[in-house]
Amino acid sequence: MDEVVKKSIDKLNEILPKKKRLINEDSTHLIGSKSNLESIDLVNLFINIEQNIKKEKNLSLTFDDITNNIDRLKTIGSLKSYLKDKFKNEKK
Amino acid sequence: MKKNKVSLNIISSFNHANFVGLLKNNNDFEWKINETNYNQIFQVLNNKNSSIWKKKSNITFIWSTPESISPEFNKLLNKEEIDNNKIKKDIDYFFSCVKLIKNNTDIIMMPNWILREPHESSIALSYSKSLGVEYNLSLMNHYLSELIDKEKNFFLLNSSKWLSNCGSEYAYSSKLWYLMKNPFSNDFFKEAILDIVILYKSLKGLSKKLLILDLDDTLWGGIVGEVGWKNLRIGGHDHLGEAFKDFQTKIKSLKNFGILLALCSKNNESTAIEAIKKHPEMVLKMDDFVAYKINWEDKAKNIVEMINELNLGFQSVVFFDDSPFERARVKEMLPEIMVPNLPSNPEDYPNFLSKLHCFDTAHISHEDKIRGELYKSEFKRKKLKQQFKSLSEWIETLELKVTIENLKSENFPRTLQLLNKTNQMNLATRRLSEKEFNNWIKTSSSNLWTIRAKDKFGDYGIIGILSLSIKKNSAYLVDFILSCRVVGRNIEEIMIEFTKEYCRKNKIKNINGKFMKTEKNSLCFKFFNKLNLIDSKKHSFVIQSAQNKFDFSNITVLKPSFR
Repeated sequence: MDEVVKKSIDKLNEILPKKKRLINEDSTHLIGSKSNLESIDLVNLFINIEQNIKKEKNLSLTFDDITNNIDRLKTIGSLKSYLKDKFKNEKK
Repeated sequence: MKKNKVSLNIISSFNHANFVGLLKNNNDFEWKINETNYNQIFQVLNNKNSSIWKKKSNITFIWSTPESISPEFNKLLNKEEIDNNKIKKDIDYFFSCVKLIKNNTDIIMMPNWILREPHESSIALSYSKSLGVEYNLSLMNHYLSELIDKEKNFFLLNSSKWLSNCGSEYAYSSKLWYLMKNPFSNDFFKEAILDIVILYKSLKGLSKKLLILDLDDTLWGGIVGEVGWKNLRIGGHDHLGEAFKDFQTKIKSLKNFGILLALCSKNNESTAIEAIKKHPEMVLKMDDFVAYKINWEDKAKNIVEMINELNLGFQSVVFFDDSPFERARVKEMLPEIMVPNLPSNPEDYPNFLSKLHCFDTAHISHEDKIRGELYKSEFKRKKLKQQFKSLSEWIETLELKVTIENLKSENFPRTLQLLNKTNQMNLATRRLSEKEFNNWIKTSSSNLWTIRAKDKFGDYGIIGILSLSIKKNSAYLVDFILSCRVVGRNIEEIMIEFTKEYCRKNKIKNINGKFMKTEKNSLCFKFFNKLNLIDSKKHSFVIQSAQNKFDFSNITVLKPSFR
């Protein structure tokens, strides 16, 4: 799942100005006052994750899955945890 | 290296935020993007007070979807019957709005119309005149291209190609559309940006000019020194031979666009030339190459020598070689040269060349078409030069004839091309659009002459521009431009003498000027420095018109009558 997040961040960074680019570290904030991202950037990131999960893992994640759990996605670390948690059963 | 700044206005019928983000991160230029709210095309085009029109931009990029321009076309998507003439009227109105902003931008680029989502028509109706989406989309694009063809500095980009390069599945994103009102993926936008950059580079004269080619396993299959010319794989009933022949045909066609070809190969010269001359399937002949270095020396060294002999800049050169070793060596030694990685399979060479686009050009002048011949004549001149001790002795043998003319309408395209393409011997490096140039010429204070030259080896064509701005008995040297092919032949001194003579006859004592330093015009600096007019600290100068300095009795100079 870490690879899916990494690829999604890389793709997002292609459209972000240098100053706003996301550093792929668990402590990097995605949402809230400590985040540099605007809502349109978050939409792009979540679409990237949805596409990469489908492509790399053949798993399905909807945009609603993400928006309904937005409180759990404050940092890159918590995003990874959420994804691992959600697909724990599918892996087995 | 410092990047050129390019300002681009974007007007689109969909959310272009991702496109703009990608464009700003493109490294070919330093982009300054002026955005407008999406889906406001007509409002922005019709609003002269819109903030994006406050400053003239280099590019205005108008990206619309067909249904946003033509309400009649939109009916088709709802399977309603339509009137084709109404579609044309919709396009006429759209185009009349686009024309309103042509003075606010150097060039206008528009992608051709494609649908904003994958579409499957009824098979029987696709090309129905009144119900066919495909028929009417083709009609719209054809009609738009006819309108654009009548305008200068308008360009229609092929977005259908971007779609096919990405594949429909990856070009569109329904998710992005429903969440952001952006129909296209980033991969699709990357294709668009690639074409914008290529087109803009070609318009600004930044396309490549010289293609240097290896021989063994690049232009033909096999190593000629080992298998002999009769056993090389070119043409014939052989899949690889046919690929090499097609590759050669495509390379030869570049000559029609003014691209120079040269050879750089590790071989015995006589063996390689024998193969080129004798192999019946060779498409490229020795005459097609303006220069060649066929020996066992380091290729980087050979390439440097060739480029110097041809008086070209390294950034205008591309090198093709099948050997990763040779490519790596040239890349490392000569980083300004473009060294693409040739595909490992020669059957992919022809397609690879087609997709490279670095030789693309927006306009082709007569000089472009005969550029190869001009450079070959130049080689003959240089050989002759080596036989003489003094420059004047050599020039005398050339039987050089220089013609200075007032600007004629038929010379307009070449003059504009020289103005916008010449880097090295260029005093001010003014870059003007056709419209700006026209306006400048029409100003009463503007005086411009073209310089033409020929000698016993051939006609150089128009190789220089000289322009003065004269106001109240005060002259300013605006353009002093000479093609680097002919620098060092006293033509630059003749241009200075002509300027002085013209001013003397118009009772102007002083000619002011300023050298505008760029990364590429050190040649011009050296010339004006040699005349003791400028130095590393002082770039402004004054030339006294009364001062006669040069004698060129060995050169015939034809001048226009002075006004």
